[in-house]
Parts: sequence; C-alpha cells; structure tokens
Amino acid sequence: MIGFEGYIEATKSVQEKVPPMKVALLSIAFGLLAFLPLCGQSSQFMDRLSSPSALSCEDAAYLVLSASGGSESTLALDKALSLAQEKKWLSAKASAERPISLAAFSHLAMSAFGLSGGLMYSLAPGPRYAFRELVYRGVVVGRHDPDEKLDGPSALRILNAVAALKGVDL
Amino acid sequence: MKKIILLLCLLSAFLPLAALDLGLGIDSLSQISGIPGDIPVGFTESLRLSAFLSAMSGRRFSFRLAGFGDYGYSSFAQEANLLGGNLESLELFLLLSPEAAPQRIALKMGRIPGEAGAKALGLSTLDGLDLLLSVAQTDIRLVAGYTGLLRASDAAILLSSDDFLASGDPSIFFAPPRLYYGLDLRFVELLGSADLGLGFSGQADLRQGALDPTNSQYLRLLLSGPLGRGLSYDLSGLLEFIQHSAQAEPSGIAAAASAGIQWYDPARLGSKLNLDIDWASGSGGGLRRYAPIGTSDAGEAYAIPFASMLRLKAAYLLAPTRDFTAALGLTAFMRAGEDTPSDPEYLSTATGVWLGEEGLVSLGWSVLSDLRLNLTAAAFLPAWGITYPETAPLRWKAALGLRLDI
Repeated sequence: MIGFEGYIEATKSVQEKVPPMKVALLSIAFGLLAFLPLCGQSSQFMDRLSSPSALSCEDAAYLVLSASGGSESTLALDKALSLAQEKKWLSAKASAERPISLAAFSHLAMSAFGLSGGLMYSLAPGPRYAFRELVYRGVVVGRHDPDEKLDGPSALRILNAVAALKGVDL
Repeated sequence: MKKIILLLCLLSAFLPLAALDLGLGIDSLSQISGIPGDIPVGFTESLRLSAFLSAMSGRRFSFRLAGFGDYGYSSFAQEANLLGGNLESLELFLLLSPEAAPQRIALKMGRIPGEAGAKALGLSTLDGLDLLLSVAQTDIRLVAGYTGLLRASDAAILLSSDDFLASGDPSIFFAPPRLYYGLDLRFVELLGSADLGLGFSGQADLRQGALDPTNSQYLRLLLSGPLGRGLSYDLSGLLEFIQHSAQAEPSGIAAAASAGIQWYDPARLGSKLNLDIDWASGSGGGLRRYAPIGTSDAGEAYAIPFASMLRLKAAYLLAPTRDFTAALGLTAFMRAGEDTPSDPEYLSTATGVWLGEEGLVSLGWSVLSDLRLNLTAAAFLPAWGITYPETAPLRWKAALGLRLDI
C-alpha cells in the first residue's frame, strides 16, 4: 500500500500551485463534496476516501470523474466505473470492489484531466506509460511499484498534482 | 553453478509476487571533435539499444536486469564495424528490515552501481554486494566487489604496469581482476548541521602471474552541510597507500582533496552555481602520483587522466522547467607535481604549472517525457608557450545525444 510520504515530494514539485499538505487535502475533499450528489452514498464515499484502506476501482473512478468536472461531475457512484471503462480510462477487467493500482489510477487521472504524455503514451495510452509520465513529472516520487495499491489520501494527492499540472485548482 | 541455481530459485520465489516491467531504450550520440593526432578532426557515431527487465514487490524486493548492444563508427579509427554490448545491471535489492522500523537494513547484490567510496574512487559499477545499515543518524555501508567481469573500457583501471599493458591490447575485453572492499560511515548532522563521513576502501590485485601485482588502500574524510539560505559546502580529503611488487615502481602514499560551494535558488529559474577546487597529488614532497582505482578524465575536451593536477571549476546551471536545462562551465587546470601529465603534446621542457582552461556549454531538452535531446560543446585552450608548444592545436568537441525510452 502506498503511503503519504511518497507524495510529499510530489506536492512540493508543484508547490507554487498547491497549498500546504493538510490544507490541500482538506480543501480537495471539501471541494469534491460540492460536486458529489447529496445522498447517503457520498458520505460513505468520503469515509472510504479518508480511510487508509485500498481505494477500489469504483471509488477511484467516481473520485476522478467528479473532480475532473464536465458532465461526469454529477454522475452517480455506481455509474462511474462503467463510464470510465467505456471511455477506456480503466481496464474492462476492473471490477467495482477491486483495489486500483497506482499505474491504473495514473492513467485514469491523466485521461480525465486530458494530460498529454510522452511519445509512447501518445502511441499506446495506458497505465504503463501514464505511470512513467507521472514519475517524470514528479507527481510520483521515490521507489514505487506501479502495481501497488493506493489509499484515498494518496489518490487525492495525485489527483491534486495532476490537476495542478493542468492549471486546475481542486 | 550451484550459486546460479540458488539465485534463480530465490528469484523464482519472488517473481510471481512482483510487478514485472520490460523496457527498451534507444540512444544515439553523434560527436565531432578536434584532437591532437594524425587526423585533426573526426566524427564518431554511436547507436545503442538497451533493454531492461525489472520486478518489484512492494518496497522490500526488486530485481533489475539491464544490458545493451551498440554499434559505433569512428572516422579516427577508420573502422565502421564496432559492434559491442555489455550487461549493465543485474541487481537484486532486498530490504531486510521491517518497512516501518526506525533502522533500515538493505542489501543490493549482483552487478550494482558503485556507491560512496567505490564511486569516489572511480568505480561506477561493481559485481558484488552492498549492505547498508541506517541506524538513527548514522549510515554504515559495506561494499565488496569484483572488477574482472566488467568491460575494460568502462572500468578504466590503470594502477599497475600490467594494467597499462592490458589497456593497449584491444583483444582484452575484461577489466583487470581486482577485489574491491569498502566500509563507509556517514554521520548525519553530527557537527551542528554538518554531516561527517569516514571511509576505508581498498583493492587487491587478483591477477595470476602479474609482473607488478599492485594493492592499494584509501582513507577518506568528508564534511558537508549548509552555509545559509541556498548555500552549501562540501570538503573531502583522501589518502592513498599503494604497494607495488615490482622494484621499478616504488610504493608510497598519494593524496587527493576537494572543496566545493554550491548555491541554489529555485526561484531564479532553478539557478545553481557550483564552485569547486579539486587536487590530486603528483610526485614530489614525499607524495606519489595519485591513482584512483578507476581513472577519470580531467575535463570534457581535455581528456587526460586527472592526476598530478589542480583543477578550479565554476559551473552555472539553469533549470527553468523540468524539461529544459542549460549549463555553462569554466575550468582551469594546473600541474600539481614534478611529474608530467599523461599527454603526448605536453612540452617536456616546461617549468610552468598552468596547463590551460576549458569552456563548456551544455543544453538538455526533454521534447517529451520519453524523448530527450542533449547538446554539449567543449573547448580546451592549452597554455601555449608555457606547458604546451605554440603549435599545439585547440582541442574541442561537440556532441548531440538523443534518447528515446520505450
């Protein structure tokens, strides 16, 4: 499971665009609340997002689609995964409860925010080159396994850094 | 053979649990240069295809296998068929301590990068093991490795007459067989905010039937720390004890030292200014000519071994974005001993110490995250009439490098 520490540097690398750590996390989480449909599901979702357990593909899809704005921002939780798969931002093999990997989340976040990648990402967009792109851009720092699972706070950090690269404040 | 089987069994136990990654890289380096010799200006081209396989399981285990094949052309050598290849890395990393433990014990083995003392003595790669223990504010590193399976041109080991003889024989692929051993201690913030480092390293000549078996040991002392906002310094001193078996080469003590100040301001386009003084002893004053285990060049265009020399270097680097870097460097070289530099152009009757100065410009541009261009140009102006004849040519080179990661 990826921890908080690895992303401290990531936040630093885009520090001119990102507020200090705690404030950033809180502001993202509360910012997201504004997009999420007001129902019991959203409070459960926020609980899962702040917990240290592995983030599921369904929650990851909902988080990223909600944060990236557009028509997806008012999406229901149970529709997010299928929409992300339809757009080929997540693998068709991803199931709702399955924990999302760091590489898969990188691809999901880059795709949703329209972040361009390198030559190989342009030719064959997918988790492999998305993960490399985020390592290159300093979003993912340190020794990381692209297949490792990530928790909600770590996912928020990545999302925040990706959004900052696109000039979007969450 | 048993050890290889054991290693494969160990790897096969880990690999199913690990994330596998396979990658390719293509490098091209085109260089035009002017050097003293029969052919004053020449062109070299090198194309390299590298591949790696890596496996990682959490933060406790990783394995990396990397190698390359290359093709080179050099108009100096008038040969167009310089095919080569090498194993770059065969590294197994194990974190032996629990992830959350305050102390850290990590082991690297295989073909591993030379760290700490090995790196300082010019060994960028070793076949061996590297054990790192981090306890509180102290790092203890134990390294042992063998050099005899490295490529001779990569290791550049020139310590004895046997090494020099072997270096002139193009049919010899492997570097001289030597055992490297080292113990490095680093005490973080031991003296206020300064880090203190101590190191003991050595190499033992394992060549059978050598004319001049040569062993050497090295003691290193390092001090580094911040000086103020954006300012830092580092100081190092090194003593070399070398024992030649041949009568013609006396044993003795050599020394090297360096001092540097670095200034960094990320707000000023990522500006970095480095000022360094490096000294490597020459013969005289009770000292011998300094000889690290792996030889390194004094400069980019001034490509002679750094020994018996004082080098003053100023470099200004800019990194306004992650994708673009620029560097400008000026270096002055002075003789630092009674012996003459290993340079056929050197004026043997010279009594002065000024050897010349070198300018360097370097630009790096990541066109995309996986496509990078590098342009480097360097020129060395010999000290005409002082230590080099008036007719000595300017030495220069310009290189364009391209790398694509697949």
